Amino acid sequence: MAICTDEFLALARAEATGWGLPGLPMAVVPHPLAKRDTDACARFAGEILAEVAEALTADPAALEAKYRGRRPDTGRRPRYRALFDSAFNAPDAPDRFRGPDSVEALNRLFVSRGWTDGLPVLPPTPQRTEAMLGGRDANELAALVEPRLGRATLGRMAANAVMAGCAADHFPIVLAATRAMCDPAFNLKAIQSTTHPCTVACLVGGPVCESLGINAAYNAFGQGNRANAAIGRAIRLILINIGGASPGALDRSTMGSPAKYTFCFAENAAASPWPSWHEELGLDPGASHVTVFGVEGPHNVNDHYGRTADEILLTVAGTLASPGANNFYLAGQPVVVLGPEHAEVIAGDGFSRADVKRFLSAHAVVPRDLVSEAMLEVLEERLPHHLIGERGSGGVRFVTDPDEIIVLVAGGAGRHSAVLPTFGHSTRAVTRQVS
Amino acid sequence: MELMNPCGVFETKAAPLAPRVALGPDVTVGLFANDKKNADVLLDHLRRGLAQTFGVRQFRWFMKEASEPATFTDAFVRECDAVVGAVCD
Repeated sequence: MAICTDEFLALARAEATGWGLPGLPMAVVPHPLAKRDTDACARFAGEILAEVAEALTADPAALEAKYRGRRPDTGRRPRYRALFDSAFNAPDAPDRFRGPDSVEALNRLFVSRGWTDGLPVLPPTPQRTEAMLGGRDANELAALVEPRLGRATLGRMAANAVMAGCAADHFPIVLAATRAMCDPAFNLKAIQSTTHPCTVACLVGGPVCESLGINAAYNAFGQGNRANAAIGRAIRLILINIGGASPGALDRSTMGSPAKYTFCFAENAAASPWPSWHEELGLDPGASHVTVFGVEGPHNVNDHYGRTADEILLTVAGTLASPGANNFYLAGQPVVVLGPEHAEVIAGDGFSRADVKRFLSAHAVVPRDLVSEAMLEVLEERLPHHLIGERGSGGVRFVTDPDEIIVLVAGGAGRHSAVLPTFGHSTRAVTRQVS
Repeated sequence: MELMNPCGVFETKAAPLAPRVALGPDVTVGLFANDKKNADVLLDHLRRGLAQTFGVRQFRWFMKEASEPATFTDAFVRECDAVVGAVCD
């Protein structure tokens, strides 16, 4: 049996249902448990003791019937309806349905069902969806999307790509990204349902960047380019409509992030002093690839004054060393995206990509006076090798394995770079070829 | 207008509940905490209640980091007759 807080009951119940246990016994305690004292925890334990004992001993069929009926109150929270009461996610759900004739009414309907990111969508008509599929089999299963294990058939994915504003030649990127983010190494279930503001960032590399016009230069992370905007948005709509990650229901991000609307970019291979990151992975430069990262939105690195690689990278390291980032106490693969002007100076001083990683690993140190006693205790238990000196008196290293840092080059002219902290070590960058 | 359904069919596996147990000194209860603060404290108070009120004497702990998938060790699965998990926040 499981115990959860009332605030997270919907998430727990939806995940249990996805795993075939809609009647899993669950005892509920008030949220938040984390800030209660020991006496309160003892009181809560006493209040649920009899229920726990019953759940461990009673007839399974009776328990199943009892708890199956204890769904969260969807009347108060409309977004929960899509998780528990939607006929459109059922095995016998129709592929097609009759909707309003006006785009305005259709968008009102889709918003009310929790099927959008809040912005208007294009109607997923059969004609547009067929064009998006480009002859592919609509019933082909690409992946199961966590946390609700929604079946990502090509047809359902194409409908979301239409809604997002994709052109048909964007669809192979969306398809590759979906397959990548559903690789177990990416840990999509946690990425989708965590309170952390991480999202799925999609890096595209190879010839397809030029043919589709995927922006790698000015505003690489920003607005103004259809391919970047629509591909990233299609991924988000798939996460919502197929994965079930409705904000406030299964997507439990405390703060959220504007990066959750769309986050797709390319590496600026033309302006990079080093081979592309995908080439560094040993991938065929004649092929195109997609890599997904479970990251926060970009943290800017402004250094207009650094004259040498060391000076610029020291500023990058200082931005990387953030005590509020998950990587600080969970390690993982933080992503550093160097602007071309920074990269030019750094490479001009003879630094390879591996040298950059080594420098950042050595210099990204959080000063001890920015580490709370509570956090220090966590670090002593989990990452004692990150502490410099007695109890971290010399600071706490952000990364100890240089190979864990991912270094890319993107952006336009200007003396800026960016750092993308990740969800932590439980998510890995995953790459798939675009076909 | 006619529209395509954008929603994914939620996969539903059929997994029956595990057989239940009779609480007592011969039963081993697993206590599974997801590393969120106080989940282990709540479970420890439950452990005391199960021991005092129902005579359970054998417990096994399993802790995991909150962000990681829960994969019980073979030993934990083998040794426990029942598991209580606290996935709190």
